[in-house]
Amino acid sequence: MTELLEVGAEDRVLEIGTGSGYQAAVLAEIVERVFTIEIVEPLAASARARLEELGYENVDVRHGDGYFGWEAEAPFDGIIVTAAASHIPPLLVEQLRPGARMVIPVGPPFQVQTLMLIERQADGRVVQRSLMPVRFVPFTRAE
Amino acid sequence: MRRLHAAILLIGALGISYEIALMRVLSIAQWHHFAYMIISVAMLGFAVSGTVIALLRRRIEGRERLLLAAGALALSSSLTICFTLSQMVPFETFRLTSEPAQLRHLLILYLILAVPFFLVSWCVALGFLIEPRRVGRLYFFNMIGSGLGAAAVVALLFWVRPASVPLVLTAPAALAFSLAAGGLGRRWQLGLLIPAALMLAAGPTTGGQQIRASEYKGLAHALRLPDARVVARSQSPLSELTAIASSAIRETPGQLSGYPMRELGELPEQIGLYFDGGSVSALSRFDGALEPFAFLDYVTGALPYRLTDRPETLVVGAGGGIEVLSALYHGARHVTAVEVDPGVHALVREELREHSGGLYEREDVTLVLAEGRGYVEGRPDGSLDLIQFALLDSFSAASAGVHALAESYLYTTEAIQLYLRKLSPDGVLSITRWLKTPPRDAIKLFGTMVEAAERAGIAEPGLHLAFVRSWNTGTIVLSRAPLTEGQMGAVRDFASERGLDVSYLPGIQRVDANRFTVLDEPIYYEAATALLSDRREQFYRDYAFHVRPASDDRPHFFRFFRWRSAGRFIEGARHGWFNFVEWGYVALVATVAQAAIMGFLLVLLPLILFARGSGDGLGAAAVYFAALGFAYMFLEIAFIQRFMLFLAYPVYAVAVVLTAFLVFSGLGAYAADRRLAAIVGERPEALKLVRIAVLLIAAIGLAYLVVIPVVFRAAAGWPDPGRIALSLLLLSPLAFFMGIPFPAGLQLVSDRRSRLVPWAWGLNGAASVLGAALATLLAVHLGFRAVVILAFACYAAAAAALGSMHEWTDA
Repeated sequence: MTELLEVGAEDRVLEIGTGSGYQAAVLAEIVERVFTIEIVEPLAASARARLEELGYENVDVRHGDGYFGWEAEAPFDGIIVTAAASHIPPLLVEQLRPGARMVIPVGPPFQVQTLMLIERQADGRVVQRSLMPVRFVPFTRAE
Repeated sequence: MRRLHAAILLIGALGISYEIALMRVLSIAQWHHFAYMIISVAMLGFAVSGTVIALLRRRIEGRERLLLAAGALALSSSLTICFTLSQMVPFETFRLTSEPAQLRHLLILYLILAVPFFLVSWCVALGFLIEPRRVGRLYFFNMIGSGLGAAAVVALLFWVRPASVPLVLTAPAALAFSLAAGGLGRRWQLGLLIPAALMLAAGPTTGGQQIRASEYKGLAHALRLPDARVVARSQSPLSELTAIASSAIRETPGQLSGYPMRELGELPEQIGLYFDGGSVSALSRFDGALEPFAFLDYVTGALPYRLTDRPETLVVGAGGGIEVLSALYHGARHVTAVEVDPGVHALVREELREHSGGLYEREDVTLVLAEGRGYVEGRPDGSLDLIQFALLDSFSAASAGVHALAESYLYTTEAIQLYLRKLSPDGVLSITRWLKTPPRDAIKLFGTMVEAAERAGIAEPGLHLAFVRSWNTGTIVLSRAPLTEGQMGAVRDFASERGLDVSYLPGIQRVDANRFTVLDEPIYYEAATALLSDRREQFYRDYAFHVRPASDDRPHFFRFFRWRSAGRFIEGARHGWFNFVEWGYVALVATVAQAAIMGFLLVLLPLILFARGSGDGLGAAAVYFAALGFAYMFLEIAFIQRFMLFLAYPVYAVAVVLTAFLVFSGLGAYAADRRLAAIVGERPEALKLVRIAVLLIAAIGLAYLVVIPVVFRAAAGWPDPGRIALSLLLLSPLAFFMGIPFPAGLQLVSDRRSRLVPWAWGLNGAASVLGAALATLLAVHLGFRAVVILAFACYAAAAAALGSMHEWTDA
């Protein structure tokens, strides 16, 4: 999924679903800055502490609902979503910079979902491609 | 009526009520295709009791009444105890393939739930031993009880949650016990008093009345959303409906493609309506302003509004009203919203009225409580500009293929022809489906529309069709008139503005059909062009899934499974991907297989061991009672499926057909018993009676195949009570004669080989439950007509076998 983003050292990436912070750390090694959102508050807090402890200074962790993205920091050069949504959140598509890619699993909770690659092309056209069947945890939950 | 008869009547009613209630419970706890499991469970109970009584015949002799009373007592407490225990088993369908312990849980569940069915069958079989000379009369009471029980439990489910039904049934069960115990001597009555008091008290106190629902169902997930709370519930025989409010419920009728949320705003606040804890329909907050519903112009389902101007619109499957709001947003002149589930009506009009803003009370909206096709049938021809089919099933249900066996008369070629007739000259029919991977639903739908248009006299259907898709939905529009240049331009503009792909439009090129949601091959375009060409038959033959159109004879639109492709499905499953699998179909095949294995192990094998050296003709008896079980269920299931079209509500069809079959068969049994009672011992007479009955069943059944479609069409517009009365009238002669062969044969066995009576009863019960599952499987592959004809073949085999049984000499 990280490779699919095709991001590099100059890029700013948004991650939805921080979890333990592992994916954010991987991205932090590759890109300039990582913005990551986690809906479960204790997870967000522990990931923030863990990343700080490990010395990742280019990661911003926020507790919130990833459905709305991170408007203040948009647009992004890549968005990676690590939980399955029932549809592709429109605001995330809007927060992609022309030429940027988003990787997101979509589909009903606990069923077979599809990993989608979404690309906002230079002319603003959004093209998507379904890559493979996957099964991720649901996008939104309280804890 | 004697006490024994009253007890048997009540026990018959309890058996069927419990079975129907458990099917509802399993639909809520797991997924509805899993409700087929109850068929195997009932079979297990029936088969085992018949075999046990047959094997313990000598020990039972002389104690029949006591054991019947004890069985009734055990039944009255087992209803709740077994239900409560079953809800403690941590069974989870979802983990069946990944967690070996689940198979053990499934087996435990089977054994627990089979106990009440064992006891029902135990009591009835003992009843036959108590009255060996009048088995027809006892059978009559059992059948009448079952018929009334079917009707009563459906009525009960309007008021009582399925989980509470076992507790409610404890009262008639206790009455059955007291009736059965009434025939015992005082000593036994006193002896039974203490255990009776204890067991009857144990039932209600253990009745948890809670269903252990799968943690992977939609409702369980919704309850874990931020600030989630239950805001309303409703209950009907169709579904248990739970309304959940949460800021994180964001259901949309498909992908919002290109929706500028920053500019046009977020989705309105929603309440999710969860049906049986699974599929969801969103109820949006509505205050009369339509602007917040602009997002509905960014889904494929908005396509027909680009082809119509202020249409008189019919929305089928209105649910929480999202399609009604879409019609109003797009300027519909008037919207008729048809919804089949009375629970939705009740919630939207009462408890959630404030939230829904009186949507269904607007002057330009009419809400109708009806099944979609039945309602359309009653509309005047040419009276609608747009018939819009919402996404009737949820995304998750569609993904899992749980509807694979559900009959749907909404998407048959005959139905599409009907919709075309009801459209105005410029009117359009629009159907939206969730898209599956690999593609199948939308392809089948497209083929159905093409064939229906041809049958309706449209020479070139390709000029009337448009098909637009996003990544997860496809909308196909069939216009009564050829699409104009202006309309085709509107389709192209709509698609390119929204980032949707046009999979078919007259004159479209391959390169234009795969621009936004890019597939490896433009499969929908290729399928559509093949279906419109002379390559259609070849396409149906070669495609990996069953995509031939559904018809009224085979209305299984959601069945895509093909045995030819089974290897691919298994290969996919081995790699952990179940997306190719049609779970409903798999569950049914598993049920048939389990029932067949159990039937062999629990009925046939004991028979072979038990009957060794006991004389000739047992094979004939096995054929007779098994064939009758199959034949009866083949006809019953075929007619339930057939009457669904006429009675509109599946639940009415089940209740009416079951009640008619069982009650009138009971009357047939009673009439035959009176006749047989007069002629017991005169072999040719009993054989003649069965032969006449079988001939009449075949004659009436064949006449039905011709007459029923005509009668259904003529009476389609009748009110519900009229159609129900007509159905009962239509079914009564057939059911009456179907009630004759079983007790006639059982009487013969009772007279000549009385110890085989429980075994014959168990065998017939086992064949009946297996027959129910098998009938569904056969209907899927061969159609209803074929199932009816197979039933006649079974009756003919039974008549021949009876001829050989008549050669039995007295034992």
